[in-house]
Amino acid sequence: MNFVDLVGVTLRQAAPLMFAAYGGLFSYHVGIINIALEAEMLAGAFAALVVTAWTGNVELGLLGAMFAAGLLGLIFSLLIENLQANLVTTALGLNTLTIAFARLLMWVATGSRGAFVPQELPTLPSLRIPLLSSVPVLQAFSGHSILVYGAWLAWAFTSLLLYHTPLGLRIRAVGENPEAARAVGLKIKSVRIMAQLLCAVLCGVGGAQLSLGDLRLFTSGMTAGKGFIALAAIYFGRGNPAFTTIACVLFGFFDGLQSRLQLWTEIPPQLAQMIPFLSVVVTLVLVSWREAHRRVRA
Amino acid sequence: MRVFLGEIARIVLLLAVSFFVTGLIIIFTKENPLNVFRILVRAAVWSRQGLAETLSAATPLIFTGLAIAVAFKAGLFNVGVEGSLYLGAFSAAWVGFTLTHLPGWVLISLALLVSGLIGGLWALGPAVAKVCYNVDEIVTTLMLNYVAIFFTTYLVTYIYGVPGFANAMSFPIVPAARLPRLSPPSQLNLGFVIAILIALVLWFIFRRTAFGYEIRMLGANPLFVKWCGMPDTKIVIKAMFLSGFLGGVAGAIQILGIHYRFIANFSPGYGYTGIAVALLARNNPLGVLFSSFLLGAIYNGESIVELMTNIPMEIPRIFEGIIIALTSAELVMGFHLRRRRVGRQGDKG
Repeated sequence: MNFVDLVGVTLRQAAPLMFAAYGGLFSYHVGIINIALEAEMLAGAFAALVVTAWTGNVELGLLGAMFAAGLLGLIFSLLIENLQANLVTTALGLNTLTIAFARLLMWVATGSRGAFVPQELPTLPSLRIPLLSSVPVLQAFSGHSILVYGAWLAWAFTSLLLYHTPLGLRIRAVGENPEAARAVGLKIKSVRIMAQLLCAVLCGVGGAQLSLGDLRLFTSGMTAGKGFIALAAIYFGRGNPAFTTIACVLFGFFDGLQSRLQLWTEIPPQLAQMIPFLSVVVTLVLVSWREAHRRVRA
Repeated sequence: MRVFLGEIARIVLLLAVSFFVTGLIIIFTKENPLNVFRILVRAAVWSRQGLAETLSAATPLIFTGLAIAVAFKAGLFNVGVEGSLYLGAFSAAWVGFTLTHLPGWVLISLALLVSGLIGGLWALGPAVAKVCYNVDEIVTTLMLNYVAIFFTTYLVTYIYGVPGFANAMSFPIVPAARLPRLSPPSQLNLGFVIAILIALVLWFIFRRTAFGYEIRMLGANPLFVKWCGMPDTKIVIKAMFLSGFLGGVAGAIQILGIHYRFIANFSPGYGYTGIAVALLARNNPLGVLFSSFLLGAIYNGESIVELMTNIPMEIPRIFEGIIIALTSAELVMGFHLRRRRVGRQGDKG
């Protein structure tokens, strides 16, 4: 067991979940359970890698990820706001569509079907924190890609925006009681679209961390339910950013543990791979069970 | 009747838009969409063998489409049919290579029953979590899909595996457990007939039984069900079990009818395609027969199209995604208002 390594991998696995979960919080508070987080992350992951490989510039890749995911978010919210489409089925359809579309584009652009592994990809800048990197245990927190730290900044950004700005107030008002929000003159549709856009852009950044941060390649299965895990983190936190963060770190830990178990032990890899998904189900059930228990006693 | 015609019009419109958008994407790959559609139709339905292969491709989609229709009709978003399918498939294979001394028809019925039970039990977990603790079933069922896929892969890699293959697979089932082929050399098998029978049975259940009525009411108006004093938690549990059961049988049919052994990751996503099948059929069991035929034809024809043109195999998946995404969208402005008015005049729908 290597504690430093485990902390590091936890932080890295938690980062994409955090971005997606914070994005999902905007949807959650505007009253939309967003199942398209998965699709938006995948769009971000794909665009980040392709644009970076094309331009040789990571910053442009990051912008591309935000743009692609934002575009998807816009399509999603136009479908549900203007065409009265069902939230769940539309999101599920976009998930399927995004996977297939990414594979199609990958095939058109590179002729490969399995994975897109660009040669000579510039790396995301990583941050070495001068004091931390020399302290034995705390060095686990140093030397990650900027997006790993960006995820924690995104927490601050999300909390501030949701609870301390007029836009955040509007978002929560629309989510809490749309009729009342309409009565005081809020444009409900614009607020919802705005929240959905914020959500998608954050998911895009999370996707960029997936493809550029760790693996530096793209496969159509690389999100592997991460959007849904982010949604589970939101459920865990009941919409509270701090508790959502805790859940993301927890799920990130199990994901990291899974990969390290495969390296360090003889556990069959398939059993190890089950751990992150089982941990999500078990955690959700435990939290809801406690909640129900408390309600009965109160 | 007018409601029925309205639904047909909506489905035709949905298909037209989906074909149009898919066509645009085909143009993007520098092929002529009309030409592609022509090759596809010719490959999928023009010849006897092509048609048989299409029906064979539609068979698992009928089951998964019905599985999802049951859940959706009850207002439950069960996206875990893929997981039930994998566990059901493995159970069927296990019965087929373990209880080898039994006669064929006993073996086949036992395999179908066991795989249905296992698939149904698998769906029960999320159902119980939903009714007892209000846990969102979309997240839990989707997470459990991954668990089921990894678990079955583990089983055939470490315990029941045949060494020496790149793809992990189980021992073969005994020949007696195989479902007879209906039109060799195509893979069409008795499973197709079973699928049609089950669709008819489900149609009857929805239309003519108290259970079907409860499911429909729960999906249409959960509060009504609660206030009427109907046992809503029991209905959720039963509906999810039935959904998982059908998913499990879907897997079993693929093993007993086509592969004759369990192969890791064998499903190209039948459980997910079932969502498109059910939505296109508006959750109607008889409609599922038609929509699964359509999607089966596209998936079957695509393999030929891919050989003859430059079209990659992702096109059917894109078509499927467009259908799922747009199925509930009001594609013509104001159409939903008209429909609501019609709905008030007619009482059945």
